[in-house]
Amino acid sequence: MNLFNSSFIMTLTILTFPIITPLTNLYKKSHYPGYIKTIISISFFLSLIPTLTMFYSGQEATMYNWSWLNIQTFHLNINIKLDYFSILFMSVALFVTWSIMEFSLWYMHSDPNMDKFFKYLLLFLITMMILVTANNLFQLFIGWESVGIMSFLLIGWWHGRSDANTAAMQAVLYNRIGDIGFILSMTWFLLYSNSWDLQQIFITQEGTDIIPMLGLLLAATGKSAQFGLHPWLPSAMEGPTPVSALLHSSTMVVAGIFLLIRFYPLMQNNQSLQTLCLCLGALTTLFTAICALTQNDIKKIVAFSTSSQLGLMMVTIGINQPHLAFLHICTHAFFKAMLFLCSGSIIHNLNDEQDIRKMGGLHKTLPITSSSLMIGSMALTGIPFLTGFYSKDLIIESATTSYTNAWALVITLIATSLTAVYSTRIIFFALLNNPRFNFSPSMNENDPTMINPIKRLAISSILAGFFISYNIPITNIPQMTMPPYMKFAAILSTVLGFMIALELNVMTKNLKSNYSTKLTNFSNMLGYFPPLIHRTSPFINLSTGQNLASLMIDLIWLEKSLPKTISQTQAMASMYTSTQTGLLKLYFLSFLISMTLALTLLF
Amino acid sequence: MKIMLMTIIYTTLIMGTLITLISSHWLLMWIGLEMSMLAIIPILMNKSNPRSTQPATKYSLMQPTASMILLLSIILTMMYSGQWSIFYSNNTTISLILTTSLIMKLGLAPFHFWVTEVTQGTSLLTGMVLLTWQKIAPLSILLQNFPTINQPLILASAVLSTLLGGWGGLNQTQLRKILAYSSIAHMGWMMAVLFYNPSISILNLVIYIMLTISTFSILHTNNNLTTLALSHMWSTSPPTIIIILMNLLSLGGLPPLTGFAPKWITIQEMVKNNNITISIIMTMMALLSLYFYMRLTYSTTLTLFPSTNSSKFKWFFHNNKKMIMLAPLITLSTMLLPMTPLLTTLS
Amino acid sequence: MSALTRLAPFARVGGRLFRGRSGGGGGVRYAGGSARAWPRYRECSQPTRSEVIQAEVLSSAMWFWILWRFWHDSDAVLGHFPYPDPSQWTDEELGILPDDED
Repeated sequence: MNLFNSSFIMTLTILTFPIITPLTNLYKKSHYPGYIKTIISISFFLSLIPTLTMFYSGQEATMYNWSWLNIQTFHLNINIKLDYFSILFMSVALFVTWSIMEFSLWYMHSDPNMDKFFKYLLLFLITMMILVTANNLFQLFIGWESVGIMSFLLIGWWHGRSDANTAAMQAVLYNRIGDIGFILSMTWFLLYSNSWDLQQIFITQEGTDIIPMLGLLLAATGKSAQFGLHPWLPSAMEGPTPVSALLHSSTMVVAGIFLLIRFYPLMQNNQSLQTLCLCLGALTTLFTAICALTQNDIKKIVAFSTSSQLGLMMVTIGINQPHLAFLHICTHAFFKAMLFLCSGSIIHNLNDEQDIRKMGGLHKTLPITSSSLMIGSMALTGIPFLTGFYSKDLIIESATTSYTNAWALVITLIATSLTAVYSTRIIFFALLNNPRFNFSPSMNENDPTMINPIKRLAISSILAGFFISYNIPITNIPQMTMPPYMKFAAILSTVLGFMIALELNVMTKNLKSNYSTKLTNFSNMLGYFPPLIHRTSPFINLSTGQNLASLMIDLIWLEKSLPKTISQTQAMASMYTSTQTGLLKLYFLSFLISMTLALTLLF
Repeated sequence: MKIMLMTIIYTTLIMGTLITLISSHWLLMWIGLEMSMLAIIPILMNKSNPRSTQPATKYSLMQPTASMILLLSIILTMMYSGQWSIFYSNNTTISLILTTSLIMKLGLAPFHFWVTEVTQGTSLLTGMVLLTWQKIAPLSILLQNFPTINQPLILASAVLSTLLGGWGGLNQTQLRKILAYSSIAHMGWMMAVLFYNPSISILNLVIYIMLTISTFSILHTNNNLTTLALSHMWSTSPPTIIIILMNLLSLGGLPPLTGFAPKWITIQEMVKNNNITISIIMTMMALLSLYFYMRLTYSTTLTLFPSTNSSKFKWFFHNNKKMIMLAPLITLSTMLLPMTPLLTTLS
Repeated sequence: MSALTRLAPFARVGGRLFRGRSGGGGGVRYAGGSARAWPRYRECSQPTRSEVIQAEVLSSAMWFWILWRFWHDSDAVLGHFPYPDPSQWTDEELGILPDDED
């Protein structure tokens, strides 16, 4: 075992120290959150060894460690896959998490359960590590489910608020729908490949079967909040801001896309599934971008932008560029984490104010946050040579030059320009113009635990894309030449978005605001999706259940039709036969009638 | 004078039935029936008030009619066979008329209307006599003539009796009427099996008489006439509640009690004779009877009927009425089921 | 074009931001832990000079990076190679025989 494997294992192992050591007497006195932060930074630096090795020698490895379970010919091993995806993702995730942890020291400093919060965050990260390094579906599933559980715990961190609980429940429930697909695929692979090892699956399967692929797509749809299963993602903003940052940058939501990337040897043979991914991704990216346009909660706007970027990643998978999608995951992690940290800084400095209408003028009071927010927004929109450009521009170029669904392509381009629109909206409302908030004298940004992570991420938002994309092994051949209108499509649409947004934002300076139109309402109400899915469909289900189970079966069938009918019949018969018993003529009439009847019948 | 009169009347009542039982001459049988009928009329109206005159009138209208029809059948038999002894004729008219008259005398459906009215109009003890002793004579004639009896008619009457007995009891709160309806239903059971095995009818009758006497005795001891009075028994005589409960359930024919035996054997006999349909119908009809027995036990033991506060606690008078034979009767009417193996001697 | 004129405030804001809070200000610093926390009547707390400089360094680093990369690597934006125009291709280049030749 060389340095590559051992340093990788070390990276993973030291992450578990903060989980184990509180059980011993070793670290009773140290500052536990700070300890976790330090451990993660150490882990990050350790992870650079395999990453750089991979960069310069392209080394990959698979480690079979322990045979867990043997069921006849079916073997479950703990085996770790050290390939391009897992190594690079691990470094990025550790770097981002390091910053987020450090930021949390400042953001959560008054929380009574800060130690637990940090342990949860760490567990969240570890489960994601399990997910990305898994070489078999079983391990992947463990990571997949643990990520879901940890997201539930973290989104519902402020469980005293019903909104937070609802959001946590939504996250769990929507992910359960996705898990159905995952389990379906696992079952299918178990039946038809007799193995959950990725290599064996890729050897035995060609990916032409649609069922397991659809299962994987459903799983990815749930986890990565693609259209249809997306409402939990904006709701997850009820969690603390560091949780949102971690959730949206390097854990949870990218897991779904990561799953599809893991299975790209199968996906690339399945044209129909790629079309499905393309259309789903395009729909998601446009829909969530539209939803982001009119939100007033700063975190919700950023959340919807994540959703939109996830849609873009799905589009990338749909055009059969999994490596590009993965690159976008990595670059996206930097600036999205930073956007959330900036939001956290603003929210915390404004005494938990999240409404961008009540901000304004923050460029004056919070200069570093403002600069970073602008860098992050520009990176998000894909301004050339910032981090986002290196993946986003390639994605859009690949999409425009491929012979693909023009509808999906146009929709993706529209969503790209909408990215610029809502980014401008945040900047305009939060940073420019006059203050609209009740300022507090304690506003500041000179706490190093708050400002250092933001600066670190800001610098990486500028540079990381360049360094990553110029160092990674060549995974696909970029399109070197294309007509100018295709080359400029991405940038032009972004610039167009910026200009439209500036024009639109000027309207806020009008004294009289118009009544909101139907389109605005559509966007502001998230496309009426939550009311329809969370209200109407449960109502229909429950009322159908009530009608069927309670009214039809219980009341009509089990009560009215048998017991009530019998008792009423008997009561009525009893009334008719026993009320008039005192009349003498009845006595003799009964004799006459029955005698006549009997004699008639007999003779 | 009064004692003298009552002695003569009661002697006549007993003698009439006995004459019917022991005679083999049709006319003497009829005379015995007439004697007990005439003797019970003064007993029915021994308290001279309108409420007791009315049942006496009804009784004296119905019973002579039945007697006259019976006499008609006797005369027809005599003319047909030329003798006064019991003769198993296969003449349909005679059997029809004989069956009808005896059904009328026993108060089976569809001639059951008078039974409840007459029982309700008299005192508890008179009602008891009416529903037990007075059934013996007509039933003995039926038993002696069972081959002559018209089977479809008697089966129809039996089913109707259980049905109407059940339905009638559902609509009642008066205990005497309920017991009258229960008598109708039980008579139906006796009639159903009469054609197949008269011994089982006798067994049925014996157990029915025991049950009815014990039930009436308990009610008489506490002078209960209504369900409401019965539901207040907990304050005066708690043991009665248990006894009433056991007796009523036995009347309803629930398994661990005596009342189950006749029903069981009757059903078995009917099934043996391939008369499954009727036995099923009658078993179902027994549920109706069981329901109102259950309702009585329910109101007696489990709930308190809505009533004024003062009536809930009856003043505890010392009870002078002593019913002899109550204890053995209750024992017999509830715990006889283990003795059913003895019944093998019946068939 | 109006959108571009509205970009002008950004430039002005940038210039103003460099100034930051002049050191003198309130004179005495009171308790509260953080560097800029002293009470001022109806006034937002001012960023310290170091904060302003850090912010400006960040922004200028971004712009420097963008422009510097653009200077060296403008192909990434403008296209690496000119896209060939098929209409300019002649039959001789493609080796297609003239139509009238059989």
